Amino acid sequence: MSFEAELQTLMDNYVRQVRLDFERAVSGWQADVRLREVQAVMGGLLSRQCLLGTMLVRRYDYWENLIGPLFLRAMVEVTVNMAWISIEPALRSAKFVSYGLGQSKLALEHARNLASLMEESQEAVDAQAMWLNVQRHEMFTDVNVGQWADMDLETMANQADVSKLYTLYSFLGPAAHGSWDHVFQFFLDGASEHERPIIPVPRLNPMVPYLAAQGIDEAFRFFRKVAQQPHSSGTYSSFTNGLEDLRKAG
Amino acid sequence: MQHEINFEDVKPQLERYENQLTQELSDLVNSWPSDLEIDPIPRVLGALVARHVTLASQVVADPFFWNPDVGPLVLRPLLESWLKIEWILKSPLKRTIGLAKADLNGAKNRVQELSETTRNSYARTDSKSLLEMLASEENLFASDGKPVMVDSWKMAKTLGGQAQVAYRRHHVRMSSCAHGAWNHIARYNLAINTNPLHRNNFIPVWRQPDTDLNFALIAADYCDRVFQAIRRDGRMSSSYSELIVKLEKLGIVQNLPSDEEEFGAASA
Repeated sequence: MSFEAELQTLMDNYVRQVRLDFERAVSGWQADVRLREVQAVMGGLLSRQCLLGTMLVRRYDYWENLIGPLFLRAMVEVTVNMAWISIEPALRSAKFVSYGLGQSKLALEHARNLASLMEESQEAVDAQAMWLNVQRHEMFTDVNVGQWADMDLETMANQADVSKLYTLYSFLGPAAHGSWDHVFQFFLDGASEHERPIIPVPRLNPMVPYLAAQGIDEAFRFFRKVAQQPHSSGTYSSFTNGLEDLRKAG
Repeated sequence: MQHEINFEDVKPQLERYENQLTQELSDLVNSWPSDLEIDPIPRVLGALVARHVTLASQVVADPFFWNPDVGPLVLRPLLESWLKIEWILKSPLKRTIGLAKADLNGAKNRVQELSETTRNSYARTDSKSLLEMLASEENLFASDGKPVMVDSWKMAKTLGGQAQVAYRRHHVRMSSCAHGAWNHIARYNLAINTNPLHRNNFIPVWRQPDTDLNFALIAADYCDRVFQAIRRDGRMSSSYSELIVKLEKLGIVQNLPSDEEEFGAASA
């Protein structure tokens, strides 16, 4: 089997296994009306993490330093949020939902202002309003323009004992914000005397699939902690061992 | 408005657009307005525009990004990049130096912190070479200019017009996607349980993202705004106008809102 075919098989098997793990984890946590928000928040974040991670793992052309970090940064934030919520699930899940509904109200107000001049989007505005109002009437929804946990991600990571994740997050930031320390390294032709702007040919960053798989594994760990399920990193280990074997063989 | 399409139907148009965009970047850099030729403006602005074009091309040419699950992860940096470039153009010399200095300071602090906290000798060596590279870059900005830090909302507010409309229209949703907020995951990662005994609770779902060409069109629009801002001619780039005309002929794009409608909305 060629290297590409082996890599493809490894990726397909990994994604299939993550999906099985997801379905087992979700169905193994019996619906409890007293825990509605906790189950929705932890389950929704786990679903988001699995989606981002498996999409990135499947596309090895994005195992690089331009697009890869945009996915990884979003994944690290999901992990830190889950870790911090898992310390006090009921209270913090409610806070997470309230902040999100406030953001929805903010988007709705912007959309209403814009729609007054653009008739065709009125239907979309109504749908947006309904989405918010079935959860909490907009009159009773507060808009918080600060941070959802009332503290920055670094403090959350420290409190949840995942401070290393914040270090990773801060190193992924320049690619997301296009800061100069990222831009000059990738978008100037260092080989030419006048350093002309270039559209770069992405260089492989072999850490990307490992970090994506680690993000998924961590999300399962915090989900299972709250759902009181035993955690195993078998899917992660088998994928990363497979990558290692391929690296040695290639 | 959602544009569900078959990728193969539009692939030739998108590939042509991507090639034209690369050429337009090169043409633009070769014909900067004379007031943008003062050192270090062309270097900083040129690299920022190259990044902008790179990200826009990725979204336009790859249906992988045409969905609300991952599209905004690239569209948000694109929107912020448009705001940054247009904001720099209002005072190019001061702002190129100021932004570059602030970013380099931040990067140096980050790397130094890592090098102090890590026990791994490989990471320390790596940090050392990175610090040397940052110091050498910093020397290029050793003039009197002060570091400048401005957030995207302030930039949008200062710029007004189209930039402000785009920010108000898209930024909250894009940020909610990037930060995995409740208003994103409840829409795209959860479904309503139809069992009435469970009081219509949300249940996590595993689903494949839908495809919507609108994400590609937004990327192309953001890209065109930057070209317009630098050329200062208020005209669409030929690549973008040609793409829109072709998609209109295919019946895929209809009645895009005019600039006047959008501009009017900015002051609402």
